[in-house]
Amino acid sequence: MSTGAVATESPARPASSARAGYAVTLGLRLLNRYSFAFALLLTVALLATTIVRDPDPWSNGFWVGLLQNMAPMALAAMASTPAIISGGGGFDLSISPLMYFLAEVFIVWLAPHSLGGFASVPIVLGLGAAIGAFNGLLIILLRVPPVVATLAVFFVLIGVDLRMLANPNEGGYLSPSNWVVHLADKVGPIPGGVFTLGFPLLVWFLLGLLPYRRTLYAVGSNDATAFASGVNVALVRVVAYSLGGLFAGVASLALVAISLSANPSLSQSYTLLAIAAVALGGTSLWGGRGGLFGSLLGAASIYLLGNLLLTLQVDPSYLQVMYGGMLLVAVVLGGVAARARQAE
Amino acid sequence: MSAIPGQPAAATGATRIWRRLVALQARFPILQAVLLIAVYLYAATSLSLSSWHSIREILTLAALAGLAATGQTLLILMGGFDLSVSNFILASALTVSVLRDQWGVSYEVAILVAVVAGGLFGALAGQICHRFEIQPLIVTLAMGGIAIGLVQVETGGTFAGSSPPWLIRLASPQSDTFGVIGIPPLVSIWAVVAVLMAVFLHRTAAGRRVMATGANPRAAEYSLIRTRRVWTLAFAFSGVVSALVGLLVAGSAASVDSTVGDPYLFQSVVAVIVGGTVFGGPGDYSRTALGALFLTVVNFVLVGKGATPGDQNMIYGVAILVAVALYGRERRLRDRI
Amino acid sequence: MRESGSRSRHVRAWIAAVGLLGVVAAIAVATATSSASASPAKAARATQACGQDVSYINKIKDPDGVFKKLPANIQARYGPWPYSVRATPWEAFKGKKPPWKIGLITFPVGSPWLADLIKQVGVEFDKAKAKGLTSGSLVKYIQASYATATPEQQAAAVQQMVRQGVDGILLLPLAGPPLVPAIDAAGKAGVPVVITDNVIDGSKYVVNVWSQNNSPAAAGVAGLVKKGNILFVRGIAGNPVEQAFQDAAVADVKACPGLKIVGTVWGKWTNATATAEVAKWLAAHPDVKVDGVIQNGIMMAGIIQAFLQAGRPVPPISGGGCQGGELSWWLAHKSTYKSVATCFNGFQTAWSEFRILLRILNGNGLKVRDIHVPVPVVTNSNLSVFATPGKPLSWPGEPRGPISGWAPNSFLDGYFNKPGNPKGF
Repeated sequence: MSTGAVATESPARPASSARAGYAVTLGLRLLNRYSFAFALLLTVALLATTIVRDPDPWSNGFWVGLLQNMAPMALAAMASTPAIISGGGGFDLSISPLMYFLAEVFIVWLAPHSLGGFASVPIVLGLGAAIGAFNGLLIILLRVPPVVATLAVFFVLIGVDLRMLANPNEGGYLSPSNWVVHLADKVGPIPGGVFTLGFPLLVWFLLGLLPYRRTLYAVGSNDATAFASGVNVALVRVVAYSLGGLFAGVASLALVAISLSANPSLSQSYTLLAIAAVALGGTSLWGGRGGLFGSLLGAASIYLLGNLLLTLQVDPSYLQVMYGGMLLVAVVLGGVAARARQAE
Repeated sequence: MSAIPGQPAAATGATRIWRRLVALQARFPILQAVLLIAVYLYAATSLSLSSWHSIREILTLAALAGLAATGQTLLILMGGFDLSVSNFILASALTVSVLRDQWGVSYEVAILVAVVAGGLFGALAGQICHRFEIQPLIVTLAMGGIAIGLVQVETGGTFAGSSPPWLIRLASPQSDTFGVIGIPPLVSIWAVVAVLMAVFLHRTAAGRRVMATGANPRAAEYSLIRTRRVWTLAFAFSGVVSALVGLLVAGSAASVDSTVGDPYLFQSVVAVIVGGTVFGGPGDYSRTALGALFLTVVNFVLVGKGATPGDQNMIYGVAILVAVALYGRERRLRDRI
Repeated sequence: MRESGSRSRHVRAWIAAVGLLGVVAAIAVATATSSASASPAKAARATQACGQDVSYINKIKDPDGVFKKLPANIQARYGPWPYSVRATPWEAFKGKKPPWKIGLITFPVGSPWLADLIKQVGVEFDKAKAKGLTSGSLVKYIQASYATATPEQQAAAVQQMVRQGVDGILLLPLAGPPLVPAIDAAGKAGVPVVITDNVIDGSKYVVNVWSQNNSPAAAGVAGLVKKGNILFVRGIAGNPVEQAFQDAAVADVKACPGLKIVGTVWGKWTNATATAEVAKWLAAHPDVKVDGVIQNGIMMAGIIQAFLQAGRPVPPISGGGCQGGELSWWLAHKSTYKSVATCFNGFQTAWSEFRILLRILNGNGLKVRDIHVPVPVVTNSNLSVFATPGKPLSWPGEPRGPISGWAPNSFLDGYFNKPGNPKGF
């Protein structure tokens, strides 16, 4: 990569361009400090526009609907994030089929055997964490690029999803009286989405109180250095992938809450959306930078943009162009900020 | 040879042979070839895939997969992934179709437009990647989305009209190259591309620059290799190849629908990786070709045996893991300090 | 020392990995063996004649007793309907005063049928607007690409349209079951959602309008071939409607004892994939004669292409979901090629669906939740009515037919307490 050359300032600059230069520097500093700054800006702008255009934005129904519909994609994005932060080309392509697998476990195994109550939560989450850990171990032990290892698991999980519901007309449905429906609706006065989206954020916050998160970022920035400092890089990475699996479990509950079913023919549909949301949220694919909050905001931007284009009746083909453009701007800004950070 | 104190003991005969095999494997894709032959022998015996007709079918489909993986090989050699392959393939097929059917442009000009567009989009992606030091995975994803979005705005849908007869003949496994040689034209094209790529990567300075950029970008910069130009050209090449493959895919399919490009996205990555090219190098296109052949033969076996999509996906995933575990591993962390 | 310490950690890590692998493998095996294989409805008569389409009519689930109340001629339309027939809250619906706001939600446009349907809905909307039946513009939500399309997006679109004050929605689901909560919520809010190209059995408020357009063609080909080898070409795995198509087709083939199923490939409902998969299968079985092919939707042209490519004679292929290209090819080879197809196009679907929605909004009183529209069967004798001559196999056109050829007004009248379209539309 090119070395970051420091721009030299020209001798006399007019005041307006100096102000503009200052604004740019401030913006970059902000982006450096908070990698999710661009996604936050986008989300706020889109949310404001949505609220303005909505006939009844201050009703509970609006927020319930918003959080519930955003939850699966946002959770898929959050599940993909720890693996990316752990660096070393870290990536988890298997989140989407894992979501569907856990959803099918809930619908096909747990619910019919009267395990569909609260007991299902630790089972689904535990299974997700275990499969995530398996991913991590695969990467650590086989020393294959994470993209490839998780791609292989991606295919295997798609196959398992199809096998599990070989006849989709039998046993693929959940009764609407199952408790999980509240996760897409309300739990008392609180929108269910708060619980599903809040859980990973809570876990992430708690991990910040332990030394784990700091270690994760250190490993992500430069694993050789971390290793030389005595950090158990392998363990840190396996835990990161396991976290991803855990959050995928939450995502599967959110999915089941909305749709009361799991359609195996669509098990890969959240893959590219999750990647785009993570990148939009400012998490660098090199590792060591970014966070869950950024992925949440990235997913929110994507969801709100799609919603807004429906309201404004814009041709859906433009949506593709806008997604791509938004993504490019986000990563370019991230790259510029990183370069400015190096130059400081 | 007597052991000198403090030195490791002399290697036994078995260890020496093992070390020599490992060294050979690092230079030539032996294991890949062995695996391919093993799978093909299984296919030929348990199914009737040994006839010349079947081999033509296998080679033609492998040619499509291999050609789609050409750009991907370069990108993976340089340490990135190209997620725009499927979208560029579809965009190219649609662009040509729209230009011909709605704007009355001649087919040759339409092809030129599609190829140039693919190259330009790719070059732009490469510039952005290098200038701002961003992972190609995301930039190519974004570029692919933009490309297909723009085409869709124009066509209002994602299905294309028919291809001209000469293209259909070109893409058919039943045709012969120049009507004479008993190999399908697609396979001949692939063979030529494979040879050119081998020459390019191993014998030209430009190819060396690509390998160097992938191996250690910083060192390449210090060696006065213009890595930005390497990246731009490599991405542009990938875009051009994807556009051309799009045309071939349109020629070989009875009709083009919105999902024609999708299989090639992950398949191109898998072909390169299963072929044994390591992320960031070393590797080359001959490995990708072997990888594409391997995957195609496995696919033929699965379809011939009537495996359900569930089983097909599971076996596919396991096959990738096995292949990579055998010969795709990276260095230990403690060796990188 | 570090070496041995890391090695024992290494060993432990391997043991953990193998253990997890065992768990995963156990799950995989358990899932593989526990998958049920029952279908929505088993074939009714044990004595289904060869060439006769399967009939579930004696086994139709009628928990609300509404099917019994339908006149016999309407009941007869439900032969190949494998789901239940339910009562609908839209019967008691008094209707709203026009003009109405209409929404259209579809999955990504990848076929001429859907493109024509969307176009025709727009045309019908404008015609209705001229009569004061609709207002504003048609609110559309058409997903952009299959790679990023999820059924949850469609559910969100339904909710969003309801919030925007849309009065009725035409919906083509990406997947049925995930939309049930959104459709029921819309229904409770007084917004009918009319579905086509899919059947959602689990929703109370939905209106299903569907054609089993594959099994009549399958039965026809089975009757045509009578003895020999049959190759199945299926659609997208894991799709409930695909499974329903397959169950009916298998029943049709089993009714002919002389037919043997020699293989199954998965064409994913696209011609390109069908060509590749069938070509692969043919290459792997060069000595197996294929006397008939049964495919479950819009893949006939691709299969013809595969046989032509393999240099093998093209056998009768069931033309379920027929397209213009294959009809044109068939017409050109009519003297030597025989087959059976079922044909309707996107314009016809849109024309009928729109009128169903208008009638519901007008409060005409829909009698049942589920409408089955039998499709015209095309054979060599009536082929020229539907086929456009002189087009190549890959022509992305549709079969011909009068605009009301799928479900004309007289057909629809039988389903409503009050016949006729609002304002004589």
